[in-house]
Amino acid sequence: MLKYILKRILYMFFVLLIVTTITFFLMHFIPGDPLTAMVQKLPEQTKINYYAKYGLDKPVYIQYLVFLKGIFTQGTLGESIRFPGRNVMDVLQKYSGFSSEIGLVAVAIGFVIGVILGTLAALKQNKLPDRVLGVIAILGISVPVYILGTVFQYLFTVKWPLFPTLGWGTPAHKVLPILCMSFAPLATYTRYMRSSVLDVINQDYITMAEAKGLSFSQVVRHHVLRNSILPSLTILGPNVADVFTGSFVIESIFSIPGLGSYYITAVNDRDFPMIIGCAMFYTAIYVLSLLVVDILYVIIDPRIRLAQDK
Amino acid sequence: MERLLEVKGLHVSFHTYAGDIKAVRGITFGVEKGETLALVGESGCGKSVTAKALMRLFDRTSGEILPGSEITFDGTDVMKLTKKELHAFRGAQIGMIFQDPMTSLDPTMTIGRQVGECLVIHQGLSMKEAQRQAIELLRMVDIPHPEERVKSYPHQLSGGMRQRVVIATALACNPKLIIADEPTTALDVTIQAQVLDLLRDLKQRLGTAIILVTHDLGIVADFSDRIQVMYAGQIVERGTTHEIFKECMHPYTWALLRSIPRDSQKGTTLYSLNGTPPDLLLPITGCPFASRCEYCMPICRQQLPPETDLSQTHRICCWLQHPKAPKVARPAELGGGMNA
Amino acid sequence: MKKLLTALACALLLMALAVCACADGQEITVYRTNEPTTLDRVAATIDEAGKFILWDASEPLFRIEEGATVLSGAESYSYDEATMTYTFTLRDNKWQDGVKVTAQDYLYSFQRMVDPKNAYGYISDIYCIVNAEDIYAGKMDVSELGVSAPDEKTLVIQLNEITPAFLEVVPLYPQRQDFVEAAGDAYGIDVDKFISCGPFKLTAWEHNSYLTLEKNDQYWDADNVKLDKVTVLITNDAEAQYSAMLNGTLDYCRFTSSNYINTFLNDDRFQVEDAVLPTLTFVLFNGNDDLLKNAKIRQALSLAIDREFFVEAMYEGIYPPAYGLLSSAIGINGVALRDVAEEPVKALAEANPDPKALFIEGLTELGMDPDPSKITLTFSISSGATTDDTIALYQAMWGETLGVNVVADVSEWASFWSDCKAGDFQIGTLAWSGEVDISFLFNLFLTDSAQMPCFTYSSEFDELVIKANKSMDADERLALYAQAEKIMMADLAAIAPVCYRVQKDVLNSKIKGWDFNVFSTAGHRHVYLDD
Repeated sequence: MLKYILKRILYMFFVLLIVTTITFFLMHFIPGDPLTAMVQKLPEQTKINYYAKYGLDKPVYIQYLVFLKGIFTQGTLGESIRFPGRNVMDVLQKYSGFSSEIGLVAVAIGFVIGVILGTLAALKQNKLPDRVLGVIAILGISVPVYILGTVFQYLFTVKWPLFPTLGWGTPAHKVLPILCMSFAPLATYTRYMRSSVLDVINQDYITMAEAKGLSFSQVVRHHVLRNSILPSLTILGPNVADVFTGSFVIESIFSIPGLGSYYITAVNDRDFPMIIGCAMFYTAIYVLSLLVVDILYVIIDPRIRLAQDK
Repeated sequence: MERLLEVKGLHVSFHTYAGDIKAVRGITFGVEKGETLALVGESGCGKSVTAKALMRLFDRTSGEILPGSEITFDGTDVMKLTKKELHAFRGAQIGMIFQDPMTSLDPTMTIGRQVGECLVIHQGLSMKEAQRQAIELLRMVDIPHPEERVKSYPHQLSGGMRQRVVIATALACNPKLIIADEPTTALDVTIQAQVLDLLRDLKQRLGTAIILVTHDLGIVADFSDRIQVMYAGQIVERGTTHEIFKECMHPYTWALLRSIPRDSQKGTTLYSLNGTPPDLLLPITGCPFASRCEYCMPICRQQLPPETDLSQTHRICCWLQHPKAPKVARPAELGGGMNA
Repeated sequence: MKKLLTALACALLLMALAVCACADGQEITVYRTNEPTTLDRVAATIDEAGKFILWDASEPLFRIEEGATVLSGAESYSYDEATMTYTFTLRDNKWQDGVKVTAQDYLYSFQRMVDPKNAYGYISDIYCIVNAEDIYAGKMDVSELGVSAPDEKTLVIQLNEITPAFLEVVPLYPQRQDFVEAAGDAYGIDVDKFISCGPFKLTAWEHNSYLTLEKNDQYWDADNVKLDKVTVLITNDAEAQYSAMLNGTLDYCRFTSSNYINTFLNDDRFQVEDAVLPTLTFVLFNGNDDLLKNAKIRQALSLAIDREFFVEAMYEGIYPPAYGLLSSAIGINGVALRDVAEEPVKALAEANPDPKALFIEGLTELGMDPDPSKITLTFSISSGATTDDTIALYQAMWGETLGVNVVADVSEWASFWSDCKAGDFQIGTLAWSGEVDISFLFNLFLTDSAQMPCFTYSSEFDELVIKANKSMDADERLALYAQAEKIMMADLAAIAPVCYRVQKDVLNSKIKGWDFNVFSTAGHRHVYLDD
């Protein structure tokens, strides 16, 4: 197992390197740079001084090497161009923290409740609870989070002033964003769980468990859940990874200082160091999440063995 | 002496979109302590359903044991058990062995835990203690190296081994009755023999009653005390093993027995019974076997035949037993002979 | 009886005090749509949000209040025409830590501005100062800069050319050298890396979320600053702002769509005000294009735009149609250009009632097939919420009036603008905002400015504008600019004006002293809450 993890981490570095390189060059080939995105009228001299200051006057491959040098010799991703003095790594750390505070809770709620509801729907298949949950699931997946956010904000801060409209700082500020963000995962996991529980519940070993005298809740807890959770776990990994880069929409609506708004702003403003930083960050988290899911698989389902065991 | 199991007027129906499938249509029978009873019949005759009904395993599905059915086990009215009582009853009083060992074990749980689960629930043991007993149970069913096997997962065992594990699980709490639902159907012939030997051995040692559900008459000869032949949800003939094999009188039983290939038939076409069982969605007037019976009479289609006792243990449900019916001889390869 | 009256008076006084205490302290919450990039006024990437905060957190020598230029950090000044030198006498002011504000601080800020390593973006604003340009290009040393501080309270700035809008345009802000050097690159990005000498000081900054400004007791005019606290929320979502305004989270909001406005119009809790912006939405013609190099073609296209119809369809009539370059928001020291000159495209329209005929004349002059239906125009536009509607409207207007075909080319802003500047387009549309300096919009069209890629230039226009830029006489300047406007917008039709913009400001009705002028740099120092 340890060897396997080390091997996967090595692959991760490769993937990271390739993605970073591609992103870097792609980024520089899109027309526009941090300067054109910002200031409208510019004397030639400003451009010269500005490019010199940020090293943008050098050919792209030299900039790339400078960038790599920065990572390997100083461990830094550089400073944001649009927001001078702000270290990219610090920004990533701090703001992904905020984003993930909301996102992780939302995914956790979505996952736990989704698994429960999905199981419920499967056990009451085609009866009223199943049908109601089916409709909720479709709504949860189809209604864009923008609509949810705006509607909730109006309902729960203006019509019934229960929560602060926007901003950050207290737990009360987190309630609405988390609520909005948990709908989609909740709907997704409900559907996934429902279909895999339906599969499992008709298996012979479930009947055998019942024949042994297990109560139904015991059957569900000891036999059904473990066997039906795998498909949901598969998507949980990338779901969690997603959370760290934040939902730009929710962060806009509720004025949450998360990574999502930084990322989108960076792309619009061609803030090169920030773009690369975010891209690398997301790639790393994503690949890591895949690794975690693979390991979880092995732990949960003994029939799955890591590639090297064969 | 009170019988271990008394079943009276058991009706089981499945509710589907197309209608109600009446799988078991009012059967009555019993099992003595320590006795082995075989339920035989072709696919869809209701034998598996009968077996599962004894433990009320349909409560969660679309199946329903219709009111009026009586199941009494060791003095307890099974139909009146509450959910909690039912759970205490299953596994402890009656154990069940399932057909396909490849799918009847939870693939994500060690076999030790699966065997021990029964003990934890019914005898309140800790899982650790239960696993220790599980080792002994595995030894009892002739699984080699049980101390290591306890930690294995089902997919690491062969089919025969898995079936032994299933047997061990069924026996874990020392139930008074074991229902074996086609325990050897999914195994190859050599393993079949082993498993049957094991079962025979265990029943002798432990004195457990067994209901063996099978479509294969070949395995019941050496194994069961009594046989009940079912067709379309009804018991058409019942008797001791000897009576059924040597003195059977129902045309369906004859067909079943004739279907067993014999050496003496070498060179000739194998016998097969024509037609298919009736559609269980529809009500059946008359004898269910009428449409396929060689000896069908007009009355067979109109009325259900009454039960006739040919001996204290031998009962048959057929119009041919009526005094006014023509005398029909048992087919030659089955020994010949006639109804009295 | 007297005793009773006294008692009553005391009771009333107490009640009044209690009400005052109960009412929210003098605190307001406003917002910006973007996080300020930095509060370093002379940083390369200083943006509008940053400048906004600095009106409250710093003290420039002059401020623009209610449209007029007023003394602020400067107590008095004089201007010598012969030497083009300004001499400012500073007030007694202190930084928030009690240290005196000196002329040295203002000088230091200028020195940083011209430092080539700093790459200050708006450097062309101070090229008028002696040697500024050369220093910024690295050709001279910063000590040669035409700014000096002979003593603690005197700042002298020498110009190398007549700059009528000097006081409005040049950033006359002080900076504390010890603070800046201690913080280095990080100066101005956090509360502990910034120091204020203005009416308010920065007390909290949660990036991308909010900033808090509290009254600065060390400010020279602190007695007249009535607000205790200003909270600036960072929010970019119109619906969120709307909700926040409705439930009192925000005390001020700016809207551009009537959907939102209607809720506030008849509600006593709010007051609504209009202000015309200095922004012009226009259609840009590529004067180098084979078709558009002909003036009549451009004029015809300009006249074929039904401006009333356009603003009605796109903006529910909120925005006024534009027939000139400058909206009524731009002028000189309170007198708008529009007060003295009519919009030139109106006269052009009267002279040419048939745009299609004009278009065909143009085609003929070019030696092209005089059938407009054979012409396909490429209309470039940057992607946004209204892109599709805009494209449809122009296709309809030019299609119906002139009979031409129009295809759209949509790209993201940076790409769109890159293409335009490279001349890689035929017709484009965008908006441009004017500034407090009236010459700003005119300078875009000077032959050698390369600012506006219309590629249609005129030496006559250049002469008029340059002369106007060099005069200190307001009336003379306005007349010259009016003539220049006519040449560029009507005679040459280098661009086709479409509409100006209006902003609707909604405020908590308790707010008083608010400056609605779009160029105001007053900050919140005159604002207060009053029931």
